[in-house]
Amino acid sequence: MEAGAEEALIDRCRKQDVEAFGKFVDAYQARVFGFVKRMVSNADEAADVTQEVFIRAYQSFARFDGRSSVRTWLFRIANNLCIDRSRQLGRTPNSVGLVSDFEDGEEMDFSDSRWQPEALMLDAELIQVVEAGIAEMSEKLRMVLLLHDREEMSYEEIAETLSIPVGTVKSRLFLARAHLQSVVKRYMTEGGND
Amino acid sequence: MKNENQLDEKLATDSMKSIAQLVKDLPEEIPSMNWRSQLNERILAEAKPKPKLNLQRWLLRPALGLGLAAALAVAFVIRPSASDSTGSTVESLMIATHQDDVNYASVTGAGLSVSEMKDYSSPTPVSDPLLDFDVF
Repeated sequence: MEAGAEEALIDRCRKQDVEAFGKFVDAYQARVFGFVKRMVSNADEAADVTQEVFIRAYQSFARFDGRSSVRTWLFRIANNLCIDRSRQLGRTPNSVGLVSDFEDGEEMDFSDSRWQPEALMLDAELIQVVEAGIAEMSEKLRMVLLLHDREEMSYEEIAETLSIPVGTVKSRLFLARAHLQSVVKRYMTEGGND
Repeated sequence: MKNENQLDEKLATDSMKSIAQLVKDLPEEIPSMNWRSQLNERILAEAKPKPKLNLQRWLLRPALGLGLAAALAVAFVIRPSASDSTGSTVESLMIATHQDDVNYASVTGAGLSVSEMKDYSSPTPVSDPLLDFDVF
């Protein structure tokens, strides 16, 4: 969506224009749903939470001051609702946490001849492997990975969305990618890519 | 700062970029039409105008109450005292009895009951309007 058109749409949404808000939902529903689904790991729950995200957005659009981008604002709502839902359900942290083997600055060795990142192609099996790898991560790593690598948010936008320093964003992104790298490497070395 | 620069370098390696690309290329899933229609219904419910506080009605309501109270006061307090007490209702009989009592008391003074006063004032018994009225 062009910047001017989006600005006009946001102005109408601020005035609780239902038609404009419908267009806003059209523009963001897949991205928000994708983010929420990977955060809550359950399609039905993701559908509920995504609806709640848009209802909250509709209710509070008049208070959106435009200091951050509308995307940052919307994903902040989504992120907060995912965290709330997770707390309500009392979920235990996932197996891959903030501390990993790579945190000490240790160099990763991906010297396996089958590890050819440039040749990686997403087939159905690899998609499952990557999705499972994402689901294994702690919420904190997952959020940063999804917001940066999927939503293409800048480090600064993520820092603002999650209220954490930029350096923390980078270190979490590094840990998240490193985890995925090891998951993909394992899959490839164990013959999944034959 | 040094650590952050190191992190920037590590995040910029080809292997890290390829992982980022994998994540980016994951298929996007669009919510169902049913989901969307449910959301539309919820948004429309939110959009329904909520009843606004009608200032005029809010101000008129106590005025109306006061007016009604005043009318009731006129009807039950002021008018009965002005009306004659010779009516046939229980209320008018009670008022007439009370007025008689007051009149008797003002003539005879304190300490004398109505029945005593009646004994002295009239040799023939005066019928008590209250007793004449069959309440049972």
